[in-house]
Amino acid sequence: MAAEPLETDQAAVPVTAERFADTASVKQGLAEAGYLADDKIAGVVSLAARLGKPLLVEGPAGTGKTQLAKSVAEMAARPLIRLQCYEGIDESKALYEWDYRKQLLWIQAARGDETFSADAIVENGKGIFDERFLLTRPMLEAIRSPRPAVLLVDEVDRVDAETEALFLEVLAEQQVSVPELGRLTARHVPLVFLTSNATRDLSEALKRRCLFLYLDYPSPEREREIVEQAVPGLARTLVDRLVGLVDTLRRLNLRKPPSVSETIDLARTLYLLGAAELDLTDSSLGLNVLLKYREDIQVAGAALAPADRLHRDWPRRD
Amino acid sequence: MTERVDAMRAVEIAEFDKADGLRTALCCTLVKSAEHLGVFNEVFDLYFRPQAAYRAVPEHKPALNLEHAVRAVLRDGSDELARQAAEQGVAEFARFEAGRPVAGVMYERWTLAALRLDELVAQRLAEVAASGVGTAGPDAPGQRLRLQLQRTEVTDRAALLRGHVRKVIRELLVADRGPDAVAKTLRQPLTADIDISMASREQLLEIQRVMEPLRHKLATTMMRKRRNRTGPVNVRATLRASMATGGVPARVVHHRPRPTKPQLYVLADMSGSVATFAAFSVTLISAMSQLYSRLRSFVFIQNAAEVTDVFRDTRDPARALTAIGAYVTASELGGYTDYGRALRQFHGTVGRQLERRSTVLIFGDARGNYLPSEEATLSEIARRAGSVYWLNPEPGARWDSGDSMMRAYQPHCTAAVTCRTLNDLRRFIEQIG
Repeated sequence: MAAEPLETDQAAVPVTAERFADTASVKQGLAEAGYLADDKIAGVVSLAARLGKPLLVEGPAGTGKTQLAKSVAEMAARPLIRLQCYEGIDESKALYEWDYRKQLLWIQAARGDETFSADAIVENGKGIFDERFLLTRPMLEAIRSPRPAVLLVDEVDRVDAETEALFLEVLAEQQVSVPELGRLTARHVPLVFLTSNATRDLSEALKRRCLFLYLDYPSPEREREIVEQAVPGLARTLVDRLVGLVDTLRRLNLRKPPSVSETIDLARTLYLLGAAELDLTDSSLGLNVLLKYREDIQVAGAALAPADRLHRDWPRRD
Repeated sequence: MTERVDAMRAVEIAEFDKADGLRTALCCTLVKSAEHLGVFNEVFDLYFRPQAAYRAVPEHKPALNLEHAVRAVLRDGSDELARQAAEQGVAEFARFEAGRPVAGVMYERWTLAALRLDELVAQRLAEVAASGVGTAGPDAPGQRLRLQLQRTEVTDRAALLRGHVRKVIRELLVADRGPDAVAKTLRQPLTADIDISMASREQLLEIQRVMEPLRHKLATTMMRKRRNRTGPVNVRATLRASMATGGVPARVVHHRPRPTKPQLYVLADMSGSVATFAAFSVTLISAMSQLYSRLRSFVFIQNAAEVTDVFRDTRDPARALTAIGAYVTASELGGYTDYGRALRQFHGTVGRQLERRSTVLIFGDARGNYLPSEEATLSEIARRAGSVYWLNPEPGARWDSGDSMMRAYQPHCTAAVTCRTLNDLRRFIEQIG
């Protein structure tokens, strides 16, 4: 019956405009999806959804940038389409590609047919350049998706400056120009998230088309909430101590400061070990879970040593 | 332009009932880089804070005993109390004069001195340390961490109080002269644009902090620039790929390019004001040593000494400087810079290794105290090496004043540039590839 598929379709796509109407509802929605956002994050996500602009999320590694996009997709009940960028990615991996093999096979198979005319193919590409031979890659998929989707372009700073230009058309006008087919416009405007680790400066053209959100390490209070949500059984004092330690470590000039995921790792470790106190020596567990470089562990161990060296002073110039 | 339109659209739908609704709306549309966030927040606070009229000690609140109030803030960290103490302190001690076009630095300093903040912080830290030793002994597990965390808390609360004092003074200034006038006096450059040789200690720590991400970005850009050059066509791989397209070579495969890494030789002047600049520059370059097939660094005041190992082992310019102190004898530190002699010794040590692929970088102000310049040595170095660059922290206009020998050295260099800030250094390194 025709009525049934329609019903399930409508139920699967709830009205999402209300969920993004203001900061409070976004915050609540994200919390239901398991992501603890603060007012700034919720506010910017709400603005991006209402303005229909892509959102560029920048910040140090491990602060929840990718997780934000996933949680928004979950909250809005939209499919998440993910494009993982890397150096050397080109339009055949990001936008679309023609399926050459299928086309060649089709030509070889159709050659025996009387209606087959090589000239007609060369003239208007009829039969060979149509949508059935078009392999859609994530960006095109997000645009042509029958349901409104969330597009996550992960680690866009790893892409060359030249390739960034490919994304511009999609981000600004939500359309893709395929020379043989013309312009494919969006059926539904996707919610676009771009994440970047700031290993290089993105081009001005890209930044101009996006809203900007800097996801820094969370404040101690928020980090406490995140740890409590991830590891519910851990003692309160231990959580405080842990959060304080991570905060101190981030102020040191380390090569890789501990991120939120490492804090949660250490919290889980402490819970599993049933530790009552957070001990800290060079060889202790704590520093080895949080820090990933030997020189960082040494610097941290030295800095946490008490009394005589409170601050490192700049040598006096004479 | 686009950003302004976006900003206005965002402001249209911004939530004004939320505390930071307007700030969030403007921030996400106007600020597109993490380094600009600090400046944005400062300027936003100037233009959008509710203005406080200049008033004497507020009548509706009883006057606080300021010393007790500060101690309480250091103990408990109450935001309201800090704000109240700041307001009262500024009213009593800042000696605010209406109409004076100042940035408020002196007001802040007078207020903090009168509140004796540093003294009270030191006292509180001593109390914390003493209380820790009493209970379980300093070596009990977790004790060290607890003490350290308490210490951090105290310094944070002191910073909170300082921040409030600064905000109160700003508000008074804005109420007095209007936000535009105050914004003009702010003039705080971004960290990467601060002149290194004239930076204060706090600024140097700031610069050091941004050096790591900057180094990372620079290394990534350089490596990608080199890798993007494609090698010659790889015929075998192309034919293999063409099997997928029915024998038609639709995709051309190239050989991976084998990048020729240049060799870098650095000679840095370590005297007086140039020392800090040289330390930062050489630290930055040494941190990117994987980009160069050979990297050797030398410092000199009168004699040139090789310090490659010192910079290889540490990423901290401060520590590097102290380590170099061991190389450079005390008599030299007080002595006069001798460029000619240093160039001669540099040439003697390294001259034979110089070749077309070598690049020589010289950091210094070329002020040789009227000692012989020995430009013949420099021209000999320039002849052997592929290129010689001179980086001078002084502005171009001062290059030939006094005992500066830039005019003698410049003709022999591939390029002589003024380089004073971290951004200058970065642009230069990107250019030489």
